[in-house]
Amino acid sequence: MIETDDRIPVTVLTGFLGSGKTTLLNRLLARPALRDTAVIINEFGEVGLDHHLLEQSAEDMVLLANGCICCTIRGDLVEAFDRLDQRLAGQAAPLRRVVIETTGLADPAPILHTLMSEPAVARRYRLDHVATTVDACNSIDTLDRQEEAVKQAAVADLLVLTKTDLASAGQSDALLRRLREINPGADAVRAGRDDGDWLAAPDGRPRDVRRWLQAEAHESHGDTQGHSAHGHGHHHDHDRTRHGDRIRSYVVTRDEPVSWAGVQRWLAMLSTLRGPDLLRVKGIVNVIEHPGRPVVIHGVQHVFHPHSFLPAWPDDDHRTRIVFITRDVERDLVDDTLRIFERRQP
Amino acid sequence: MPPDATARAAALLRLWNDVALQHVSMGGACACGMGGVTLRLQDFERDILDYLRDEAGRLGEAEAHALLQCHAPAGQEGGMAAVLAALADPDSVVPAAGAAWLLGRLDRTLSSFARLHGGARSGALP
Repeated sequence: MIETDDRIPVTVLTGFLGSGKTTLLNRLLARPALRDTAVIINEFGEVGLDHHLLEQSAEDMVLLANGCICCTIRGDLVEAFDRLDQRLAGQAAPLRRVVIETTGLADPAPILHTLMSEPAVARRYRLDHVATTVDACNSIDTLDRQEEAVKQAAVADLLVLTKTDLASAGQSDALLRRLREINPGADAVRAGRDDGDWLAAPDGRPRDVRRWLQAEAHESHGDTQGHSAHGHGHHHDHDRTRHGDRIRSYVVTRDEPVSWAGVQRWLAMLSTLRGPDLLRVKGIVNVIEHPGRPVVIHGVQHVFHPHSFLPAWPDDDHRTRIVFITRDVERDLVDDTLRIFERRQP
Repeated sequence: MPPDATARAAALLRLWNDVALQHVSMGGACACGMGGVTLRLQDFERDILDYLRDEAGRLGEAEAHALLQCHAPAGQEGGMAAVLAALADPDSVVPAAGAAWLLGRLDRTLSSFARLHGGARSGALP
């Protein structure tokens, strides 16, 4: 079962400074399949630099300057989409995809907020996925030192390993293990080897909800995390202390249908109390009020995308599964508080 | 009521009084439209009590259900402090088994809410 959506898909391409975002984007834009892609660049500082490095599709490129501080990006981004619409109004060729390249220092959350909740943008565009470039040579150190880099990895649907030709197999493997600790649900590909397959779907392919959710990956990983979180897993605890990670990922499941009114109230409570620490929340919910029509939820920090109903379940698994990637919010807090609301009367 | 149970209930009553009325305000300067929202744990008092009453009824915990009905009747606001005060009272006649069941649920629930709330209040995170 797939969810169809006619809006133009948007890829948010993020990754720490020097991780190879622009190089990757340059290479991807050279592909014929991506000729109808527009690029929006969000840069840090007064003078844009990265757009000079991008050689392709200059006429479909919009530069955002000074957009690095949370929420000041919003107006700029809305304006950029508006300019894009105006520019494309007289053109015969359809726009098939937009890529937003963020600054390497950026927390991608404000961009995701705008895509998810700004009506002027969300009418025509939809967040398709977040791709994060990760430098195979240097990213272990970067992840140890820079919390923004951990956040960029945590919100990704797709992790693109760059510079793998310069890294040893041991470095790449260690990085992959580290990334799976942070975000076990994201796909990982190597730039060059798997280039563009993930971006090239020119018609904005319908989203496969199961693939998007990747709940199984978080479920199996969560077993390990949950164990160590209760003090029984010395090795994992040691790793977390050494790296200073405060990021956790886990999935909360329910076998029986839950109150949608209750879940909405619970999410509002969570996002108000701990919004900044909810790096990504995505889920499929079996609700009492709408039998046979699962609800898809998707949030980044305190902003939740308007929920949508699927026409039917994607497979035989009708459990509620909600994936959380959080900072300092343990699974038991989320699970215990859902218990309060899940039987709430409408 | 055994002394350790009343002491536990008294500690939970202090916890509730500490955090229930404190406001959490989110993103006042945020331009995403969510600024200005404030809430208190007390806003969820009825949710918590409805859950406990429902659980007690569903699991056949008649003593706990009766205590909740007495101090926090269904359909009425408030009652958490009264339930905890009854459990903390060494002279109360609450049956031990019902009190133990209720204290276990209250301990876990209120502690989880307080930890969520505490994280928000600490201000340690951006």
